[in-house]
Amino acid sequence: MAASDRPGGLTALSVLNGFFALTVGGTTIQRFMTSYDLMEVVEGEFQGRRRYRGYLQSLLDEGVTPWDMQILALIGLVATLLLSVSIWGLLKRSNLVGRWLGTLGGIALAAFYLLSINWLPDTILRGSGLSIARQLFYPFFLIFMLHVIFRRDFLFHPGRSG
Amino acid sequence: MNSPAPKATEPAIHIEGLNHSFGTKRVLKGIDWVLPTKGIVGLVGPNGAGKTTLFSLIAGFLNLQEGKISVLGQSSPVAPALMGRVGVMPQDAIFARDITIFDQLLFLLRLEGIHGDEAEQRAKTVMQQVGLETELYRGAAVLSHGMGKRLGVAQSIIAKPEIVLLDEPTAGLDPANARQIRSLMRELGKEALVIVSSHNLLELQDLIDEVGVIFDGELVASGSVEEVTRRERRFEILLDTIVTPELVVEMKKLSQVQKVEYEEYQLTVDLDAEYEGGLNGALSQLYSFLIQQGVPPHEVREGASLEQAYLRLTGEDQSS
Amino acid sequence: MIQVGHILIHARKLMVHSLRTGSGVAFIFLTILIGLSLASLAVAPVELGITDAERFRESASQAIGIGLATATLRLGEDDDNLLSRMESGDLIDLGMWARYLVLENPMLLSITVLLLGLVLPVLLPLGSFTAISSDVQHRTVRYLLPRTTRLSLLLGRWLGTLLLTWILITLLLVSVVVYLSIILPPDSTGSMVPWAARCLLALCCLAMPYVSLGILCSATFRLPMVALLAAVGITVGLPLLALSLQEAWEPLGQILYLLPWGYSHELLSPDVEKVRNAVFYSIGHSLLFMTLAAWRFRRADL
Repeated sequence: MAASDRPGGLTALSVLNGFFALTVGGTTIQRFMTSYDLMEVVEGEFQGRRRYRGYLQSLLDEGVTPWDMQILALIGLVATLLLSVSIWGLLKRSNLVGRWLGTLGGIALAAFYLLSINWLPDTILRGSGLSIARQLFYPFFLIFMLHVIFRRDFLFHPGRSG
Repeated sequence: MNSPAPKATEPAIHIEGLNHSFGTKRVLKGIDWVLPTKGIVGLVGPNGAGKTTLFSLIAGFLNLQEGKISVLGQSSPVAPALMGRVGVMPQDAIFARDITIFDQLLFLLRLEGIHGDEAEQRAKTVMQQVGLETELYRGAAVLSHGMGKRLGVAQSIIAKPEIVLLDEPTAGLDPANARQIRSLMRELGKEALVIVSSHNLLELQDLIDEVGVIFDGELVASGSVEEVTRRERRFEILLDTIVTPELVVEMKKLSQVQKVEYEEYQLTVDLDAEYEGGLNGALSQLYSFLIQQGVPPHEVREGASLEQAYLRLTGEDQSS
Repeated sequence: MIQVGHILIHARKLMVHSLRTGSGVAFIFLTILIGLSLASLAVAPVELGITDAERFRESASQAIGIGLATATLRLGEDDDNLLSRMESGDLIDLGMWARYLVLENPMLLSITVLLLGLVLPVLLPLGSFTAISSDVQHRTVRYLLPRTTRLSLLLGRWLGTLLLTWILITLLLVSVVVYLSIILPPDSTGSMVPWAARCLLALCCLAMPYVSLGILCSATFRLPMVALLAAVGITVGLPLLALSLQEAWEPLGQILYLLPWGYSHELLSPDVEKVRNAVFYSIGHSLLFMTLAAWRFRRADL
């Protein structure tokens, strides 16, 4: 027998999930670090470079709090984990792990970018706006694919789990 | 589809002066063949004889170069009026891998104008008929060779066509599945014309009503199995005593005997069906001869001879 | 014989199937990714404050002028002189045209669409190369031929590819317009919408002949990869060939018009007559490619 009857589109989606998990994972680490640095600046304990300190101060001046950064980082972490786990689910065509965790991952990813646009000042977002639009396209595309195009593959796959 | 069925007297397929070449190689040479509206017709011939080319021309996969093929009263095998009236199981086609088998069957049915619940029901029924009901929601990529064959048969009969072309449908199937497909063909043959190509002549002998033998691009024999095998009458004769070489030598001298093989208590004799006394006369004279030789037959069985006819017609019979 | 019902069934199947295959997902994702990256390329210099809008407008106008001169094979030997030629009587139409794109209409959108016009022809074969050839390669087409005419199959696959492409272009342009509307002052948004509609029509017209060329290659070559290489090769190779042949003997440069390269920019011309002609040429090219594809597919042994 041939190895798998998984549609190529699902394999491609799992690769894209991996790509976006890495991207949002990287940004998440950055947000966590920024949040701790912001806390140190607020408490007057920051020891870093002067230029970076100036940048952090400008964020605080624009009304960004360490909590905002932490919430964003937390959402990013959730998105990273869900997208990563869903890779396995997509490959196995698991309704729970692939379709539903993938959907939640997509929602978390969209929330991460939308909240970033909403909360972060122009100084951070300037020049990267369209790349955020690019990133925003993916979660909607993912959810559409999982619930319209591949719905039956998850529901009726003979070897499905969950 | 909607076009009227041919009149009862009209053949389902009429092939006239069909020639076809691939480059400089002529693969079909002046084929003339008329096929009835119902029943099972076998197409036999060695590898490379032109069977699949003939199938492909009837199905419209290949363009006609020379000659005529009229199908169900239409002068061209690709006439739009034929769409949906001919079901084809090609030998080497594969289903798309990214769509479930169920969806692909529904798509084929939609092309035939069958939608909704009826289409779903038909897809499920036909998959049951070929023993693949558990694979309905899987992709075709997971099917084994034999399962792929059965799926090929399923799609060819799903819309109840008037002509079904099956290119080696039982090749590679296990005995149980092959039997299932054969009984399906028998059922189909009651309502439609089923043309089946196969190398398994024993299987065909019991299945088909008519046969066409194709060799080196030529249709060397066609007609009912009875007609084609008439010249090859084989009998197995069981004796009470061991056969001696001397007896065989004497038997070969008889004018109605074409060929004799033997082992221990059994003689296998090919009689000339065109013997002036007829087949019955030839057989009764053989009886008399054996009694005269003191070895009366214990049992006489009429043996299968489509294979014999095939081997003679294709020049592959090395034993005579 | 054309069966309209069958054409629609084939079109729908192609669209759904494209989304289920790896190459289909890759095509959609790459088109959006590259499209937005091109938009980003146009927007970023102004957004990042590397240059101010006026200076950017000026240099964009010059760059577009040179681009148009290249596209219309009027570059001439002395490139340095081009800008002054544009101001003087020689190439004044090009100068006006460039100004029309950057001064009279939303500049960033114009630049994005011009860039898309350059890149889309190369991207589109990704969406069409498997339309016919994949089924022929795997002989899946043999399951279809007893049920549908070859012409219906071909037209259905063409329509499905074209609709999918148009949907993608619309998505892409809507994203860019929404983004530009957010970053630009609100009063400029009003003028953006009609220009965006015009740009959308231009890109949809542009896509038609290139999708048809992809289908022609897909119907001609049995191997999908060969079909892809042929479509991309012809699309990229022809303008390069035209430019080099033009140097040898000027009239030879006209082979550029074998593909829409020679007139596609006119879809955004200020001259209504030119726009109308470009639309007719696009339709004509599509018809020509599809006629060739139908002729080839009808004669093919499948």
